Amino acid sequence: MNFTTISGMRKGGAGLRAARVAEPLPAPTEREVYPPPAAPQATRAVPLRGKARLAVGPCRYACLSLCLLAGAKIFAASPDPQKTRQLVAIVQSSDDLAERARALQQLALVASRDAIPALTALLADEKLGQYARDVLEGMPDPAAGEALRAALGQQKGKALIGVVNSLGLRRDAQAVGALGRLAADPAAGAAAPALLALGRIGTPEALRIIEPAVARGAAELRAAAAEACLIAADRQRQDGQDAAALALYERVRGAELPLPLQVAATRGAIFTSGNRGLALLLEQLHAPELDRRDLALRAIRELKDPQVTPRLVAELDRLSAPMQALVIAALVDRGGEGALTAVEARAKAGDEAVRVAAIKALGKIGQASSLPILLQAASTPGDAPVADAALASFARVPAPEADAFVLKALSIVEPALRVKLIAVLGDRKAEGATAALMKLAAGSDLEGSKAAWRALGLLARPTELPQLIRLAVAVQDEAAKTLADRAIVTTAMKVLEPGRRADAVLTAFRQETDPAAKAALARPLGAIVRSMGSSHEVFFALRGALQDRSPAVRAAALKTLGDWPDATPTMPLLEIARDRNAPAAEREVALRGAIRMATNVAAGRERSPLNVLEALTQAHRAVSTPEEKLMIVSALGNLKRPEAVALLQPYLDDPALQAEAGLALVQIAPALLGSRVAPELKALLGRIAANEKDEAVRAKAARLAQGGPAQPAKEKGKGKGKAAAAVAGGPELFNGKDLGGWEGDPAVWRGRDGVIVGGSLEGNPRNEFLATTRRYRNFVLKLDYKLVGTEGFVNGGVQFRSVRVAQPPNEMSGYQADIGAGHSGCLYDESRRKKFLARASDEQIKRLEKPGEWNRYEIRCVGPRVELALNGERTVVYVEEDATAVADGFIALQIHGNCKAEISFRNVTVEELP
Amino acid sequence: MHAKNPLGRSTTRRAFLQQSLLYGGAALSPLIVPAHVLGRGRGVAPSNRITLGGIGIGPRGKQVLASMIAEADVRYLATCDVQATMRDSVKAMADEHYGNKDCATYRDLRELLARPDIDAVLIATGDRWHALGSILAAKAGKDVYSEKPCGLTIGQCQSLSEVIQRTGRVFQAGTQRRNVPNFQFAAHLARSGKLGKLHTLHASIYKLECNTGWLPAEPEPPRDVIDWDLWLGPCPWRPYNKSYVVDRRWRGYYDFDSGAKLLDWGAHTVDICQLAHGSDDTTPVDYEPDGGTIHARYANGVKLVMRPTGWIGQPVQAASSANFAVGSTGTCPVRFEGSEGWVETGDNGAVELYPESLRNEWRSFTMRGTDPAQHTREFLDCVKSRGLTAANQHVMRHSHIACHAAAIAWQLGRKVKFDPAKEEFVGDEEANRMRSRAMREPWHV
Repeated sequence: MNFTTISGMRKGGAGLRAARVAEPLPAPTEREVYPPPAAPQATRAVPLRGKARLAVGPCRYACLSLCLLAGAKIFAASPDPQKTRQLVAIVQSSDDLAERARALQQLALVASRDAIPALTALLADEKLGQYARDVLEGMPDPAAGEALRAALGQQKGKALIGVVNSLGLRRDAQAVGALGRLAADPAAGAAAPALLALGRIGTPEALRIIEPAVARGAAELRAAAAEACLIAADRQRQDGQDAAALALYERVRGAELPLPLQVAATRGAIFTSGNRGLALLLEQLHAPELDRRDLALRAIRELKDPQVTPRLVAELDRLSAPMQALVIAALVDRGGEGALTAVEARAKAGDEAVRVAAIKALGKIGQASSLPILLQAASTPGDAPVADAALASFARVPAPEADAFVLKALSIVEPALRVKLIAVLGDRKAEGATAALMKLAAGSDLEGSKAAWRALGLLARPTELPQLIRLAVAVQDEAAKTLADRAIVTTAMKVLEPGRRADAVLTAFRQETDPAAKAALARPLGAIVRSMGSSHEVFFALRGALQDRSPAVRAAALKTLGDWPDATPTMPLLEIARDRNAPAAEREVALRGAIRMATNVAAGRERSPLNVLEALTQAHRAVSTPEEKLMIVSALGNLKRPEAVALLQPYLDDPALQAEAGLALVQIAPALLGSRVAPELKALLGRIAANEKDEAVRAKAARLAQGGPAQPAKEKGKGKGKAAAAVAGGPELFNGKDLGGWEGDPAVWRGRDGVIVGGSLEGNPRNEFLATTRRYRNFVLKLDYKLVGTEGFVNGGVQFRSVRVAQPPNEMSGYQADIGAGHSGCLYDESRRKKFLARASDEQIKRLEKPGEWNRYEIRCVGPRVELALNGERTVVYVEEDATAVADGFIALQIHGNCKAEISFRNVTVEELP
Repeated sequence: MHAKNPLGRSTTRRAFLQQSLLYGGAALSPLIVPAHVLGRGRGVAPSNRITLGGIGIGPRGKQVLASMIAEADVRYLATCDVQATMRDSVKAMADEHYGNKDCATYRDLRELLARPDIDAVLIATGDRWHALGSILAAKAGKDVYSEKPCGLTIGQCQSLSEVIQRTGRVFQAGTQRRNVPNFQFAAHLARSGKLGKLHTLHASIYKLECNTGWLPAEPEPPRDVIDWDLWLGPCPWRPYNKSYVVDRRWRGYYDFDSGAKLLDWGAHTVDICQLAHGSDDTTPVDYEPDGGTIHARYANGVKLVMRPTGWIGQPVQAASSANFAVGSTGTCPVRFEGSEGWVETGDNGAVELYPESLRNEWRSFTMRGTDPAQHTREFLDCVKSRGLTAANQHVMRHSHIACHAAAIAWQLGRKVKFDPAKEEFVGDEEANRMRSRAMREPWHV
């Protein structure tokens, strides 16, 4: 063995790489060929050396540098006799074991043969023996091999085993004789390692020793000899000597050995028997041992014989049902050519497990002929696994005819299946189906229409927006209207340039003459604007529409402007609010919108040129209902101007609003105590301190009246009324402005003005979730919620430790703190165990919850323990006993399907716990 | 209540029809069939159940174990650790899950591996034991899920890949990001040409560290409390100090950590870069260190940059003082750049990309929102079907070798050239000597 060539070196030259047999790898992915690399983009610093590597202990190279004579290079190619001498000196004379060990590790990189005597002397050392041996094992110089061979006769016990191992890894042919003697001498204690070493060396002489050893001697030795044969055989295969390798495999197979060795040998034999390998594979398929059958299943995927698929197909009928299913899957992994007919036959009828496996297989290898079979399976009544598998396969089957097939099938299947097939078209991104889907969207079958709108959202391109819009304005059903809006918005959002996204809808809006249709278009306009931000063009168009002759158009424009994502419409809205000739309903919408926007600006959540004082003063004159008064008081609580004090004063006298007004005053007081209204302010604070029922507010007022700060330390607010500041409790999950940090359908969820709103009073067709983009494990989650609804199952919730599910994609699975329909404060297991895990009593829920108003929810999760609290009082405690319940997951907000309802959230904070 | 099976074997998938002597000759352990194996199965027949053993299950191991034990078709039978406290803790976890006291504990992994009733093992020891543990398990006829990094050296990764291939076992490396949607999506953009001609891949790595010092010697505890010799296993001897074991402070040591800590993240991020580049069957050919960064290059000219800094949203002072990157996409970020666009993503699921039009593809990416437990589920499915996993031995071999080559370049402080076909450094004896290290006797690959 020549050790002066680098390629002959240990462990990587011939040694370990030898067993890398030419097994077929998984099909390589395509790689593009690139032009030669351009000039380096950045200048790179000169590579740092040695001391740049920090360490707690002295680094190997730092130590080395200390040893060097001045002027010597730090890194020289090994071997390096000079460094070797220095390091050997340390090894031999130092009394610090750690230092000696480190010196040996450095020798492993650079040692020349000068080190050999010192190393040999250490081989028997219980602590440093391996360090020394490592140097010898890796030293290409043949003198190292000599030293190790000599050590065979000198070392004992574990040290001897180590030397034997090293010689094997060096593939030292000259050691074969001595190793053979050790293999025959169990008393020396290194027989099994010697056999393995001989296997690695693999010369004919070595093979002559290990082959017979497979059949005689103690079990442990026979096993070692067998493994040695396998190692040698693997290398022979790599060298293209299949026949020789096969002989070794057969030798092992013929001996009495543990099953894992038999299996490995059989595996090798299958791949080296030419076209007889397949027969051997089939034998294994019928073996009683699971490991043999497994070996066959693996080999089906790897054996390069073109007969594999046809033979296995022919074999299917002789296999049990479970095995058929497994073989089908294996044939699919091979690519499936030649298996299609057999798979199709089994997809039609027969044992359910096999049928399902065959249907799944068609999802990967199916062609035109498979499509009717899938359709029939999808129509199977009462057999959910088969039908579900068929639909899943329809969504993926690679046949180019599939889109057209499914499209045609729509007109012949039952309505229930039609809805599912429409969804399949969406999943397939079947763009050719768009025209047909639009027809269905406009059709009379309501469920089909809704499904079509959903699919259109996935498929339609921006160029198709005008058609979508025309169809959408004709929709009557509320739920379908929402879906249509959603489809329009989703499609509009596919326009690349944000400033152009509203164009199609805006054009339609401007051109539309029919009042009802025009009014209907205001809604998607609003949704687009809320998703992408304010647009001047849209604003002007809507503002113009405020003067439209048709009341429906005016109302729709007003509503959309009232929901505007920024304060642009404030003053026009106030004009309407103060116009005594305008209908009361319109004035109300306008006023609320205006106050909301002004509050945002006053609170600093939005930068705007709006004159907030002017706006709120005008608004103040227009309020009439208690609700509106409440809004204005809350708004004034953000207005840190002296004028606000005068505006607030009358509300302090109003018993219904006293508390809110007091809170508002206390909120702005700290900023105003140095202003010209300080005396009036202090007087008012004094009144509050004397009369206010709420203790926290009273205390604050008292402190302020005396000139101190509002609060001595961080305090938790009570969340009472809209004027409450964000409560302490961890980082805000919601930034108050937009849905950054969350993901969900933008047509359903809006975030602005400190509030997240989900769902619509026009209708919510299905469950929708707005989820965080990161997971949480143990935490305290606090939020305010408000649920208003008029019809259906008015319900929402807060998911935690949850995940989205793959099908259907709008759902989530995991714990839910329920909201609404009598379930607030209860713990439900959404889309998982699908039951209430813990319920509060109806009496408690009724007592605690304020329906239609803001309520405070607290969810505490630590390990298996979950606690819910509603408005400060604990409602349920639940301790999870099922360890399959997921221990961490996303947090999400829910609006339930099948209702006309809107849910709002604010002050959402989460404090993570260890 | 437990019923003893008259055959003395558990009615599990494996033992049903198996008749075998045991490799290595260790004695059969008495096997008891708990009554609930037949009862509490949620509809999974015992013959379709996978029996699992665990080796070295610590904090990370428990996370993976939790996702496995949650599956209805898994049964965790036995746990092994050189530390008594750890094996008791995992036993408690399993016992609580199954509502009994049946989980067996072992100090020596060879005893656990000798059990014929165990189908597969989860290996979550420290880096130093991953390769040898996986190899022993495969030779004993078990399928293996091994935490990354799967080998301490290039040589260990090669041996591991070869043994898996020879024995035909199912192998899944714990590089679960191969099965996480946002990483899959980013790789898909790169591979499918949506970024134009790919030119640079970026993989985040730790601040590198190579420590050869020893902690002060402390008296060795009794073997059944902490088996120090077995903890060391194939590693060079050094005196015991509880910090390595009890505090798990073995990271950064040349003897125990993989590639100067490069593989701690690199095993994940370089792996995803390999996926994105479609180069799972090869490695880069050049590696050049530059401070804490390593620049590598494939034969086709595509660059792979392993860096701890320079990620979107990474605060500057954090970059200089922290051990790892946390940018706006979270930990373990990767970035792929082509002639017409780029994408960057990380553990918090966020995807940054250019141009924005690619965002539409993300919205409709089919795997969206799926739980990362998919990686363990895939392993279990392959144990049954004998298919190839996403992080199989071939994939592991190449991504790990790339990482080790980079680490060697860093440790030597200079450029190295590598031949992926021969898996050798070119004209570089010093680097080639670093490809492997002798195992402490009697251990061998």
